[in-house]
Amino acid sequence: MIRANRLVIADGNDAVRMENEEITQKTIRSFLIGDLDEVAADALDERSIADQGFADRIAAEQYDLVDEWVDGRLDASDAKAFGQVLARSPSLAEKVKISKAMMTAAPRAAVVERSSEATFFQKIFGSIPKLAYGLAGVLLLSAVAATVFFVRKDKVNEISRVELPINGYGSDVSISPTPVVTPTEGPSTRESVSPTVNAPGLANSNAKKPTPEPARTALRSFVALTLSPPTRGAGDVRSVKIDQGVEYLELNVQTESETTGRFVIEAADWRSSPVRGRGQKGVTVVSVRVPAERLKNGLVTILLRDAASGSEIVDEHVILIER
Amino acid sequence: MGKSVVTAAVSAKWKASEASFTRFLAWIDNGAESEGQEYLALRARLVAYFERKGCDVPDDLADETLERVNRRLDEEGSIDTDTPARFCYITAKFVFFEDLRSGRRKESSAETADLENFKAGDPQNEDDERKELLSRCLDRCLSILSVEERDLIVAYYFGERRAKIDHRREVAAKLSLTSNALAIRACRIRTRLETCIRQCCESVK
Repeated sequence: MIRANRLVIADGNDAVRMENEEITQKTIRSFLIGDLDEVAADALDERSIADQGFADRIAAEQYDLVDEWVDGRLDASDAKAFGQVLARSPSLAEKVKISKAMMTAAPRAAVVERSSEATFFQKIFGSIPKLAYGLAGVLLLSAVAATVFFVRKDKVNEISRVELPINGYGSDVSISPTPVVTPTEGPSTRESVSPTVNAPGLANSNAKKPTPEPARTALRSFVALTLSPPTRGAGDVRSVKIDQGVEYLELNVQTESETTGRFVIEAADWRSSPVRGRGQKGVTVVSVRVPAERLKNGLVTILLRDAASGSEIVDEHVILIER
Repeated sequence: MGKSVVTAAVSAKWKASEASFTRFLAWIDNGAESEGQEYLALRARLVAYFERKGCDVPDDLADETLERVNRRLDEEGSIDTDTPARFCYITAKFVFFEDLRSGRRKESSAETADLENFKAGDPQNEDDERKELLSRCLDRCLSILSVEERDLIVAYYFGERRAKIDHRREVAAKLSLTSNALAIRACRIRTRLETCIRQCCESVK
């Protein structure tokens, strides 16, 4: 349906008149579904070229009409009229597709947003002044130093080798962009790597700072992520931000599984070779490095499988990759 | 095809020089020095106009319109009969009717189109591959937005039917915006998303 088969140029007064009138949402909707008379439509067209604010209103109303059409919220006559408008406009048809895709994507993205909201405890403690944190930190360090001094005072030479205990099971997610030494095998290495000393959440008391040979190693950047306890489904999604230059995501998956053998970790379409888990106080930690380039933005499912059975899923986590 | 012939014909006779284009930008600015921003905004409004008219190549027609106006300004030295916006609009109408009569449009689809025809292009009938591509591009383009923009657009699309309307009202209240202002803000984000998605889909093709 096209009403304007002849060229009609409204006199400038029409546009001025329309400009001075408060153009209602109803009028704009009628305009967009082709329900206005020719002169009025022409005046609105002209104003949409001259007035950015009005052009914005039309565009916003048009999107809403598309959404309502997709949702089935338009009444029958409007739906029919707007359907005809859609049918003759390739760009509007494209808007419909995007609108549908958005409606599918929004709930998924909202799940992620909710999971990243501050927890109750974060909210409570977030109100405590930073000074209190600082004071608590100083007291804690003093206590640790005093303990070390009194326990080891007769073994002064060993003090330099004492390492701070690393959090055991129960720690949640830790993300720390840190320069580390990559294995000499290069980026394609899929085997487990020793946890770095600054990757918290690992119950590995043997972790020592590597002493790289400069000729064989290079500083690389990575993000360490410890996943524990296991989460099934997308109800508890952690987000990981991979900054530019970061080459690996180091996944440390903690599991309470009785299996102490070898595991395979899958992340999106990447799959590790069998990796031996490291047992510690009833917890098994499986570590792999996933090349960051293999992880696209969005939700990624991490599966921990028992390598022996090949198919048994031991644990499952869902994380959100962001850049 | 026909479009490129028309453009070529115009281009053969006249080509914008740097000086003429600078004068054209100043004329569009109408006294305000926008450094080309008003030109871009006017072009976007023209594209929207041709989109509403159901034109297949709205971008090309907007460029055609601006080129004709530029040419007229260059040939006559000045245009005093109308404001820049009005003159552009009148020219756009001529361009639109020429396009309409050129037969380039899909077999007068405007006359015969109905809901059934439209449904042929409905995503329900599209192949899964295309839907998957659109979904991936949408995810990618959402990730390009700022956190605030992404939050807003996700919130804007959250819920179904009545719940969606209520949710939008809550979002507007939370941001201290009127419903109209929220819709316009969401519209601007969606426009950018669309551009990004279009480019993304084309780059994959």
